[in-house]
Amino acid sequence: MNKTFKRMLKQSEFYVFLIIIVFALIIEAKSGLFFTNNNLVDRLRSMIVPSIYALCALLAFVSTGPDVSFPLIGALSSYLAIVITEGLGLAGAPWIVSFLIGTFFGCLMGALNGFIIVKYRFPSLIVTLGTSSIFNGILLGAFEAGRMYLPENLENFARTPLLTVKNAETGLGSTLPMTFLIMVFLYIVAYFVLNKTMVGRGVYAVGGDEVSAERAGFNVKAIRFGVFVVNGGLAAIGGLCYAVQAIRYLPTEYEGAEMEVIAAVILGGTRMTGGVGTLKGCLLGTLLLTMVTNSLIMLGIPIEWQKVFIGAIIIIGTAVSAIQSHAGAKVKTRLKKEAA
Amino acid sequence: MKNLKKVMALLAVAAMTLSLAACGQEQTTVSSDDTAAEETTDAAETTEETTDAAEETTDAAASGDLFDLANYKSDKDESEWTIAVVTKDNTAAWFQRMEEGVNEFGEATGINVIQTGPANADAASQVQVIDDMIAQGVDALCVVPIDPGAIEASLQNAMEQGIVVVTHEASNQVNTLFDIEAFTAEDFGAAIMDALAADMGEEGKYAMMVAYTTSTTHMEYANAQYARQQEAYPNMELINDGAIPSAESEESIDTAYERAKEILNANPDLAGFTGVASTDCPGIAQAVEELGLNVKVVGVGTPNEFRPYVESGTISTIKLWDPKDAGYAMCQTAAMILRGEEVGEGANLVAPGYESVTLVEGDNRCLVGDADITITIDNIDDYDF
Repeated sequence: MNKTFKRMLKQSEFYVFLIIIVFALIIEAKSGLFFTNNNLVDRLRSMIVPSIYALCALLAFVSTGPDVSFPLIGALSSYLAIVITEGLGLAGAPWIVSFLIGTFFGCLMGALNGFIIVKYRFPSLIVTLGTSSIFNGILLGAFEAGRMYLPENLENFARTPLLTVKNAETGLGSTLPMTFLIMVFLYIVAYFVLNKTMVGRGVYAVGGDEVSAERAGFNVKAIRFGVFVVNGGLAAIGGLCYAVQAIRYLPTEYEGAEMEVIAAVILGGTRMTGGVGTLKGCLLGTLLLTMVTNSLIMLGIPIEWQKVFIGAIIIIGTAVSAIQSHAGAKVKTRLKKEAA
Repeated sequence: MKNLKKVMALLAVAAMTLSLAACGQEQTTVSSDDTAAEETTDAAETTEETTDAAEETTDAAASGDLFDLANYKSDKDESEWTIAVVTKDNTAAWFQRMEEGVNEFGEATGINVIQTGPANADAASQVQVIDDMIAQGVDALCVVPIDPGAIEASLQNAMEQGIVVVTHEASNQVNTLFDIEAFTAEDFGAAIMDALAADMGEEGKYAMMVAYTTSTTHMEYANAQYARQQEAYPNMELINDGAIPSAESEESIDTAYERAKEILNANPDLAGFTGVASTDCPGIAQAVEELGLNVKVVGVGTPNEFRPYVESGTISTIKLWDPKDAGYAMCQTAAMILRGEEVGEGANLVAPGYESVTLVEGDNRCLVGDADITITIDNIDDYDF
């Protein structure tokens, strides 16, 4: 018991979890609205898309480096999925068909990222920044994408709630969309792949130390390429979930999501230098950030100060976990010295 | 080889001479105009036009005032005039609606009208389109700028050549004879508040959303709404002790939805909500419908985009101006200047809401109409844009 507790203290996830609890209590104390069934459902809902994107950010950071192209891969592949669904008269097909079309294009775009990064060994940040810009140009320039309503199959999917709650006291309702199941499914798959398969361990190994990973028999290039292909697919799913939740396709709203997601993932303990990061951390970081961005009005913070507040939470959150991990490292070196 | 050099030299000389002539025309050296006229005697009509333009230019430059309307009176027959309307993006439903007004003007007056716009809605492409129109020798340019700053030089060039320039939605455009606005921000904000007050029975709490607190027009609308409510509807109350605005949508429907939900959670007794960016009301309406509340939503946006929510009754009123009337009013202004008629305070631009415009002098001369329109479930079918 004591051992597991000590181990927990060393994880940055634990500190993020603490901040979440404290923050929730503050909101509850100030507004009395946090621990209501409709608010909790709302928070789960607003987490869905960012936490799918967070998987992209996590995989990229752990194996290679930053990937900032996922929002625009999501935007462009959702657009293609919607247009093709309508163009081929697939509006009557099950929703998953549209998702598969989107995922296919997402993987293609991810493959482009992966190809350039692996083949030419360019920094992933620059490559994905570049491809983002290209995808944006194609979407808004070449395709002239505008706001659209969804094809029938996605619209029906969007309008089928997974869960509907009603707050008996205030009479306010809230619904959890089906996309929540998609997110849960993706996290379960990611958990098994990352923790229980050789490929998954390879993703961590490659990011931790490329040379050792190669000596240990991992195919570094193939793993990195694979990560970016998967990222493209995940981004497409995230993008389609965004459209489903808004019940519209909104081409201009994707851009810019990457920064908050990356902040959330780092907040959750993922190292920018590679090799370290957990799914648990991803979820907690995303939860904290969506909680903060969606509770400032309830806290009564003036609009002019909301951005300052969000920035402060990101820095404080990261600092807390960074300080404790530095402390952990110091203790370790001291122990080593003493032992010597 | 030698020949090639000769040809090149000749070409260079020709280019220089031509550019000199072009400069000369702009700077109105009379002699160069004369030679130009002599050189092109075979094309009698075009020559006339060139000299006309040159004379007008001389006038404008001589009096040193590009903004003197008298310089722009045209001696040509009305049927020979061409008025070009340059929009931000001609494929957008908004500007297709404007084209209806422009064509209506053409039919009513017999003046040639063309409406065109850049292939991509960016400032550089719009400059290109304007320059093309100037080269085609149109008599008047009516422009809805994407970026007023980017087209100043082109518009100045047009005016120096005696082309009438009128703009819309560009109160800070310097090189324009008149900028046409549908209403002042104060009037429009007040009109939004009047509509909201009527829908919510003049009592209860309300909230307002803008895209960003840094977007000037949105904040002007928001402040005007609040001022109007303070003045006329004492039983209404803006949430958060009158903090303007209540939330930012950041030009995103999804953010508008999230913020609206938060506000509705914190204020379950809210009775009204306004949104002035086109992204605001769909997000607010989605939140209101999901929460199952009876909140009146009033805001700015296009009928087609808001139609589902108007039909379901969540968005009770859309406030807007009609691009069709704005297009008509722009062309009318241009035609009046070409005819040499008086344009200014109280001028009648014929289109509904622009029958007696107010002149506001700021960065430019602004003709402000009273042309806000109210769209509800009863008349939404009359508007298809």
